[in-house]
Amino acid sequence: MSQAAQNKSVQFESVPSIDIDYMELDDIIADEFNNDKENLIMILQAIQRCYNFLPRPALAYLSTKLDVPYSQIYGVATFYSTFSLEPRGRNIISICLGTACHVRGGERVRERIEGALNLHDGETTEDQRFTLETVRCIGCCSLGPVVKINEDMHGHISYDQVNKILDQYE
Amino acid sequence: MKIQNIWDLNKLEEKGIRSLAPKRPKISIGLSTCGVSLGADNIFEKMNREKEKHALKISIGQTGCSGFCDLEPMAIVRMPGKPPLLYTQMTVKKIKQMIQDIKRKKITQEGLLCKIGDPALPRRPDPLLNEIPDYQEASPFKDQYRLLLGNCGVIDPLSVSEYVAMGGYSALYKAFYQMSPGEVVEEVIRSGLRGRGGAWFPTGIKWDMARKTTSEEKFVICNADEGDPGAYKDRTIMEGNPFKLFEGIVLAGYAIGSHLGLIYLREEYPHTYQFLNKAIDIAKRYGLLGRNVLGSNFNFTLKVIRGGGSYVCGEETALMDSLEGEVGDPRLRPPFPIEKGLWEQPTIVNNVETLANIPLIIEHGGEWYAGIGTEKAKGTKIFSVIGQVQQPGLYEVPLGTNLEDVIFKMAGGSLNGGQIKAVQVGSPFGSFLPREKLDISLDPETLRDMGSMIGSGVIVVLDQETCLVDILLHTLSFFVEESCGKCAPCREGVFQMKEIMTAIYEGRATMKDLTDLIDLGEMIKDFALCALGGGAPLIILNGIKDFRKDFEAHITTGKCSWSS
Repeated sequence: MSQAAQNKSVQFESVPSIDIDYMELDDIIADEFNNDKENLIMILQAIQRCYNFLPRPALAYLSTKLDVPYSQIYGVATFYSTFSLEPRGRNIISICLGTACHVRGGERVRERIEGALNLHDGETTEDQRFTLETVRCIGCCSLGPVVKINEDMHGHISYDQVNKILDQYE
Repeated sequence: MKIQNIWDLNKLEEKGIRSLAPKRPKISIGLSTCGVSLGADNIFEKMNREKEKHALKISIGQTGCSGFCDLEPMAIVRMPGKPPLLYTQMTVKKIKQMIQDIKRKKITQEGLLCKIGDPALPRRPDPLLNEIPDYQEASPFKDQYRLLLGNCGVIDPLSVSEYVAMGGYSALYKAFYQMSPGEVVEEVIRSGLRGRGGAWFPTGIKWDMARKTTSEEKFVICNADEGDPGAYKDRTIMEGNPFKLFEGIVLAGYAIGSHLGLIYLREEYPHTYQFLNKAIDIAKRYGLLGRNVLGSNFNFTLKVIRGGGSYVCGEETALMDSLEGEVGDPRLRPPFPIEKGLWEQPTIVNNVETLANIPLIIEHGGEWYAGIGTEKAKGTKIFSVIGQVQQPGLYEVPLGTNLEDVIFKMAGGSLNGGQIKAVQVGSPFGSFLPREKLDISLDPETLRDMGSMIGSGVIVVLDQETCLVDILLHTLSFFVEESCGKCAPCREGVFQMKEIMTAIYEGRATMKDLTDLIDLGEMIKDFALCALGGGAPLIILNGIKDFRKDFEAHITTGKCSWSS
């Protein structure tokens, strides 16, 4: 956890500055979520949907809007695995490595995908097409091994299907 | 249309019966997460197009998942005067054939699994009761007691009327108009229901304490952070019969005097999130949530909150931190959540499966419920049987059912007919049991006496080809990743255990390392802050006891005992 957080903050400095649409942030924070502090996780998820990651200026703005210390927002953003502080690819591949998928060959599917994209867990391809993540169980255990790409589930994956599936995503 | 009284409810029931026994043929496709992942949405779309193109006189509907995802996409065909027929593993081609057959009033045989009689209990007038219930005779439903799952994959999960036709909302009606909140709690205590999330705390006692606290605000939290790898029972209930869950949550609110319910849903279920919100809107429209629920003077608001992908947030106090918008660290107890929970107010946290049991208990009485199960563990339990097994899926059986019966009789034994090497009940914390220890009763006490736990009911089956060191290391890395980092025994200790296990796996360890691993595990077991940290070393300690050979083989030869 602490190591991962460190990595995130180190790589964070190299993130190019991006334009933040503060009006849009207001829409999310105020209209959609009522400026509610307890909606913090859902607000962060909404911001991440806009930018594909959590830009630091957006978090700073959120901190003043919600009157929550920046340190706390940073803590939340690094604690939950769903958040990323660095830009991610257009498509997020989540390889399930829950027990069921593990014993049904999930590791081999992972190796195949890593090989096909030349990526490791948590990394993004240079052309920003894919980000690779591993997750523990997405609740489709009888379909193992399972890979989730964006919001689509792919069940019963054999490793020779990997390239065909990846080709569907641009 | 808001339901204000018993007449409205009866009218809705009639509507549901018409919908379940329609005058024109109806095909319902299973559109749960698992069905969609196998192309059910595509089938659904194509069918609708086909229907429009040829102006077909059939209706097209949807249903949930019955718990056997590899049999998806499933379809239920309702033809006038015939019992509903359940089809498995549908494709666009098969459905087209089926539509042709329906036109000719023929019954399609391909993919036909069974006809569906009364899936659950004899209830108020049941449209399907007249037919012979073959559902219970067909594998994989055979020998199950599907009290909770009976309607999943059978009714349209977003149709209130179909749920009411299956006996839904009669429990809530009974509670509002015939019972005081105290009596509801009494009934739950009498039923002996215990929490299905893994802790098995008596639900009624929790509610009783929460009811007796004097506070202006109280909260009901439904724990849907189903994080145990291999568990998907809660998702199946939520996507298959959401109104049953809502009914249970409102009953909980009525019992303890709370007007706000929160469903904490895990981040990994995006489809379920959309689905639950749809269901909540529908329930509000029917007056089953919101102001004056069912025409009573009880108000109740229900919201779904999405988690952030953290396993520890399934622990109730960490869950409440997460709801407050903070990092999910387990809190020290006391104070317990029923005294000071969410926003410092009395809060009850119950699992999805627990809450789904409540309407049954209120409708049929606590005594009836207490007649199912063992002396100390009442009711049915949904077990998620996964791994190298012939028919993986959700098996709902009375507590106290023999483990061997579930694995061999119901789930068909090991995948390729080979020997079973080990079975883990209560994944990820439950221990791996060797083949000779499988003749046991599935209840929390038996598993506890064996030094393990039943957890949320995940059963992982492993065959001879599996290396226990590999599986244990895999599970241990899960614990390391998901440690919240608050207490040292879990943060540092479990991490060290993983280091030693890796050394053993790679053949770099000595026998001394094995002793160190045991000592370290014993220490963490006693000193970790929460149940998750303290539970982590258990599987390793028991694994070493029962599968010492695998460990020794890795230490001495650097590979598994079975590989040559």
